[in-house]
Amino acid sequence: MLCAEDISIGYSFSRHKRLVVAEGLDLNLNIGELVCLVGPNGVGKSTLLRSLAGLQPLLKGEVALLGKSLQKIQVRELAQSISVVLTERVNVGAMSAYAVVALGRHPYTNWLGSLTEQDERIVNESLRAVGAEDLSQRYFNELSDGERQKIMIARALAQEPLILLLDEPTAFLDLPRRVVLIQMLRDLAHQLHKAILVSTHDLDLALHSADIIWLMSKNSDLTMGAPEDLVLNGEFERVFAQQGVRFDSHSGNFVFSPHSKKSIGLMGEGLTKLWTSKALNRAGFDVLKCEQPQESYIEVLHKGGKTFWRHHHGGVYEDFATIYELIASFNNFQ
Amino acid sequence: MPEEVEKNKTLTRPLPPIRWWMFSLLFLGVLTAFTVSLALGSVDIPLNNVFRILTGQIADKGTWADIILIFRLPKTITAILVGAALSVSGLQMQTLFRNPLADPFILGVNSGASLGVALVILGFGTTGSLLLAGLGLFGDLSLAVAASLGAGAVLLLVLLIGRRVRSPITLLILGLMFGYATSAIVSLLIYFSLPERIQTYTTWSFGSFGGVTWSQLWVMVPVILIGLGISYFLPKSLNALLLGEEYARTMGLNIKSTRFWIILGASILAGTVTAFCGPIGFIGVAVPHLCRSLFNTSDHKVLLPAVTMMGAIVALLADVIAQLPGTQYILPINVVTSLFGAPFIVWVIIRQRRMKSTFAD
Repeated sequence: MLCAEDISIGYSFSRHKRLVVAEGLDLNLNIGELVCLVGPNGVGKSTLLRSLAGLQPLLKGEVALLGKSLQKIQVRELAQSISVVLTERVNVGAMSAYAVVALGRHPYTNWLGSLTEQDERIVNESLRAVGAEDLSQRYFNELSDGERQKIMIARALAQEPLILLLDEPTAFLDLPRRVVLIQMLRDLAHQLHKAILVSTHDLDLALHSADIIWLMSKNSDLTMGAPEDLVLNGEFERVFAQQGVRFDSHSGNFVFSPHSKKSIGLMGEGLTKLWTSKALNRAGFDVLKCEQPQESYIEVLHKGGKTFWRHHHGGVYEDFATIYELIASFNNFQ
Repeated sequence: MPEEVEKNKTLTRPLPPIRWWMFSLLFLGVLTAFTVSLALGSVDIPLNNVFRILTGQIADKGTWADIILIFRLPKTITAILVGAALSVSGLQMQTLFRNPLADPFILGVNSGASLGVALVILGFGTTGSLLLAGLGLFGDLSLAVAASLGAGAVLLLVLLIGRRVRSPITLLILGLMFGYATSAIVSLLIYFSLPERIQTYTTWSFGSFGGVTWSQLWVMVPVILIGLGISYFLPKSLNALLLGEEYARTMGLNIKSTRFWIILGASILAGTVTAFCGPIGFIGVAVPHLCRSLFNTSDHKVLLPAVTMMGAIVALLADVIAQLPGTQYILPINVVTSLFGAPFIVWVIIRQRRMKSTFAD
């Protein structure tokens, strides 16, 4: 579909001065797949996306759409194959959501931009595809962030593209809406047979819904694979290791790894133990399993229907009624 | 479920269709203002006589026909052209730069024209005017020619630079800087000039519809029509630009050529107006806002014809007020547009709370 070999992306300011964001990238985007582009901040996700959209020139190499270089395709023709949803919030003034979606028909309409019956049908289908039929008659500016995002995606769909590129579409949304949005994109990719590339910071979401993840890292390499592949071969852990966070391959979560590493034992059972362990992680401890008393350890105790935490330290101990107090005591201790 | 709550929060309001009756009303307004502007002035001429003169019949007083045909008709036609030209030009600039304060002169076309005129009046003095007049052909057009040359030079400069820069904001800043530079040169010329020449320049800078003669209209009408023609080909591109240049590009809009045509059209309109009538402010900024507010849309297919007619009405009314009907005095047109127009627009904007949302950005 969309194919690139050994490309360099970045900005060229003048003939001699340029900023290479990433180089030597090979990639390939396939129909019917949802691809999530993830990576630490500033690694060039947006630049890559914009380069693939033809919004900025490549520093080296070329991107080919169905074997034809992007540079050689007319903008109008390109707009019929690739459509984009950008991060920036748009303000279109007084326009109905329908009219905004109808703007997506731009590459197909005549010089006046008048909509034919077919155009109207496609606009309606696009609105239906994102579940926004009921928004169509409202002013775009009055919509919530989530609703606007839907309309912008519907607009992109109205271009009838083969490929849909979205730059951080989840950025302004709350968690439930992010999940809904990514699920929707996944359905669009599978059911309407589009190639959809989404750049996102939502690693959890990417792990759970992407068909393929493009993992971009600082030293400008791009690793691709099913989310699970990347977890199992340790790529996830490697890329994010430099960032002060640690990817825990067992839980599929990111954990903070503060600089001073201490360890502490934890004795207890069940859910209480699990969450106590999380809290200790957060406080910067490596939690060790312990079966018998040690120099310093935490014991979860249940007595008289109450739960409390006992911190043993060099033979003396202190009790805490909540995890908050327990953690606070460490901070005071230091 | 949260979507449901949001939906109920804002009322669903059906959007107005393109309102043909509003267009008819506007058109009627243009006709009315046109007639009133012909009838009122230092001498008030009854409406029935105005119609008679326009249809080639004999009026009650012989002088009335001369007043209307020689003085008022060219002035009224000029007002219509100026109003339409500035409004269309302003609308395009506001959309291109996505800036509600943009006006037809934002790229410095006006400054270029002022410099041309200042050079003729202040710099070369009478010899300069004679020199230009000596070219024949133009005769009383010398100021207009100087202004056109100045405006044209700036336009060329902007178009050349516009092909190179990536962001329209850069253009905006360049236009601003150019304005400062030219006004500095004009100030310098004024500083070293004779008082009576300064007076001439100041009078020009007040703006006036009255100085345009029939022979000048033969130049002005076609040029403005060309400018309007270019603009009327652009509604689709302008609509796409509402989403910003990047989106417009991904929707298949050729940014460079679109920018070229918008700047060309808008600058021809603004430059011509300034050349013939002096720098006329306010109309170009205010009328697009007024129309967005009245029609409650930013669709350029609606706005272009709307601002054309609204601009004509506003310019005609300003002219009527400037004549101070029944007196011998005439106010500068810029004074009227700003003094009477500004409070009116403020009132409209405050009444229409949605004004803010009717503008891109």
